[in-house]
Amino acid sequence: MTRDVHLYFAPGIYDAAISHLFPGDDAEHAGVLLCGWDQTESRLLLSARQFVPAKDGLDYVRTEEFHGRLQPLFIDEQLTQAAQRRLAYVAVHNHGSDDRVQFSPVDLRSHEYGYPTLAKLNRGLPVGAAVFGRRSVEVDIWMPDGSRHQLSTARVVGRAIRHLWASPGHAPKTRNEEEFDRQLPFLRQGQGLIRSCVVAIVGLGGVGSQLLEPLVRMGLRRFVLIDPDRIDTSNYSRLHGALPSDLPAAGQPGRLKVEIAHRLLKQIAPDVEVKTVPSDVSHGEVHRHLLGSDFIFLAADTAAARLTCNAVAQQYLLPMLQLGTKIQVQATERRSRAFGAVRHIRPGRGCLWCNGLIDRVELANASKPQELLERERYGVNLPNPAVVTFNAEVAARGMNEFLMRYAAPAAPEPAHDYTLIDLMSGERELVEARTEPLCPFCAIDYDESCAGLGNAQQIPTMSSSHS
Amino acid sequence: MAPQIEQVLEHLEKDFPLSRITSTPVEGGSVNVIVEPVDLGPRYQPRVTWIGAQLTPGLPYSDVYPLYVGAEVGRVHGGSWQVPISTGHQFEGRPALQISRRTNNLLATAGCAAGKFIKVLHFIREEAQ
Repeated sequence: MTRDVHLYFAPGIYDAAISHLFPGDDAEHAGVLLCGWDQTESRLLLSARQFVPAKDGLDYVRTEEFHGRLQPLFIDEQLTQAAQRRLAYVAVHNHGSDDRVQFSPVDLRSHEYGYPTLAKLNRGLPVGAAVFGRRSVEVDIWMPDGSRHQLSTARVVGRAIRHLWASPGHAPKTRNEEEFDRQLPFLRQGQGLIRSCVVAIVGLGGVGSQLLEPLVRMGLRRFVLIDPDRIDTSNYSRLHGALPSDLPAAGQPGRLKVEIAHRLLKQIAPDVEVKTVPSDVSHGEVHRHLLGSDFIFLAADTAAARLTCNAVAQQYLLPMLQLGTKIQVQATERRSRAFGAVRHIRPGRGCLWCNGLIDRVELANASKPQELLERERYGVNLPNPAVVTFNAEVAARGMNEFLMRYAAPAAPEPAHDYTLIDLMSGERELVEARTEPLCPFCAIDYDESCAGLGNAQQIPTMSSSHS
Repeated sequence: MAPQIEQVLEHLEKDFPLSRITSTPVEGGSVNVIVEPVDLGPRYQPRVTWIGAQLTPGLPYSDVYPLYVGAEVGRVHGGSWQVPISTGHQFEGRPALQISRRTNNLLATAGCAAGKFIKVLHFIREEAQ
């Protein structure tokens, strides 16, 4: 067995499961989770799309030996649902335990008896079981190739992220390292979470490059860096870690931004693990590099990157922060304005599509050749202004939001989704984002939405889109 | 041809049953489509022309933008073209007026993308009032 399952919940689905399993009677109850799924080199991802409660005495009955058993008709109905929607079938029940839980020998014998057959019935999709304690989860997932997988971590991706394991022994360990001596009293368990967290940064430009040094100095040691661009002289003033030797010269192009970022991280922490992806996240299968991450920082400013990353976040229930700055220069300096945005995207909340933050004309333009765009364009089109200090303020707020939401569970739960910063006055507006009930990306209760569907739905990219 | 573009073309066939739908693949997986004839109403001379646009692989999330109609049409009562209609363009080798109207709603279906042709025709008809 491999302990590599990452099981993610939207808070509503997790709460529905827990209220059904633990109604206060200390008895065992059951149901089925229908989960989107996918596999990377090191993870089996499960994203809970739906919890189906089993009615006690009807769908879930006790045998003479007092073992609970899901009834064949209920199992068949849920397997049919799973197969039709290309989802994983996960039968769930509870034990009366708290922060540690495991399958009983009877549970495991029944898995070994039944799941090889169920795996065949589910047409090449994963099947398996989960057992819940009040603050713990364990899984036994059977893949079509016969391999079995146990839980690495489960997460309830709410305003703050709740981390669950099969037992405290499986939680990442916080080591007493002198390097982090001053932040340990604040972070405590969170230091272990940070060390084991894989952070993906999409866009290593003015904002994205500002994230590198503080994150690695804070203790993060695993990064996925995605950006197709090379440094140019016009962005040298804003690219953290760049050196004069990186600039284009004598007919040679500038160094790739992901290479500059990689070098900076290695200089600070030689033990850091970095995957560099010098490609556009919205092209082809590049977005799959995000699936091995625990948290995404989206610092690329194209509509196509927003579309693809927003879909990944909602389809796989991965938490994401979108960071950006915008400067509007007017004829008189007094009327110029500079804004920053830190937007938290999580299951069913903060969706960039719902909030009109993905420019649909820019998406259309992304597939057009420059010559056609020039013909279509009217009006003046100047490069966006940018200032390094503005980028730094937005990046710093973004990293603190990450810290509070991912690794500091004792922190007060934030009530907002977006932080909008007036970078000239310093004023902040905390915004609760809109959620459209028929959103194709985030509406987990809407049948046509891709929320939580994992690989059952194609991620929209600029070379392929939803059908 | 990308399936999402095929779906838009199918909707156009249904929405414009009396017109020819001509589609031409272009680079990058996009398709140029022309719907012909279409009627701009009595306030235009000639009132019958064509409408066209490029359908891109980002559909149904990307906008259908801009759209074009034949450059030969004019208002019966005269008057110059105003933003968002501009002159001096070509589409599929035809002289064209460009209509730069953004879609602001969040519906993302093939039917909505095809519906953009109807909405823009409606806009042009109303614009001449």
